[in-house]
Amino acid sequence: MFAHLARLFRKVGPAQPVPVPAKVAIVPANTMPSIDRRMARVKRLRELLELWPAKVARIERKQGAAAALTMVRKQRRMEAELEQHLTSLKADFAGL
Amino acid sequence: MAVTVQFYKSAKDYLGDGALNLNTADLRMVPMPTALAFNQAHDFLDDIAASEVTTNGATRKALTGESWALSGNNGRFDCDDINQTASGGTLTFGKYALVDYTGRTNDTDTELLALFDLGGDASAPAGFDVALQTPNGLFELQ
Repeated sequence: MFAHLARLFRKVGPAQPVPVPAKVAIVPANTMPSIDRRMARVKRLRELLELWPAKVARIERKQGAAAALTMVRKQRRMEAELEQHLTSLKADFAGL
Repeated sequence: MAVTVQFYKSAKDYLGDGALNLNTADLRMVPMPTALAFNQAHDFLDDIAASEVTTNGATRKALTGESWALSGNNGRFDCDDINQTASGGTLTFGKYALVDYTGRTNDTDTELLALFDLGGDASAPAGFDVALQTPNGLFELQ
């Protein structure tokens, strides 16, 4: 009886907190992310933009054209962000 | 400080039936006190809104730069760093509730998705940010 209850409680018990990769820091307000951070973001955006066309095609197949269009708009925003980071990095490197 | 997360049942439900699209949803982080306990019976923001930290610059922050995509073999949710700027005094909070503002009308229909524990009180004096930095994403499905 108690063994059965213990199994049941394990099954339905509350989920434990799971560690995530994010970190907390106290930083001066309105500071631009470091060059390293922006370069890492550029790398990730390039990875995402490579994955995106297949993702859009899959979403169009599964969820229809309207959902795919939202994903294409997101792709445009990521391209604009990439361009912005590249421009700011070029300016920073030119000043070194 | 190590950051941990617990997901509310709404997130598990809506991820499965497609009501939550992590690429396009309007997601926000709501600062909460360290003392707020995770409770699976909570499903909408109004269940915990009375605890919300609203002083010294604390605000509900809309996530920017969100994407849900593979990183190696893991599904990764990325977003830009989430910064709360202290003003008028020291800003202190210890948790963030992740909520879905998509189609929201008020707190009673704003779904609670997850509770992030910052590992204790995070405090910033005026002119500084409490930054939740996400160089490797906010969370991953491994």
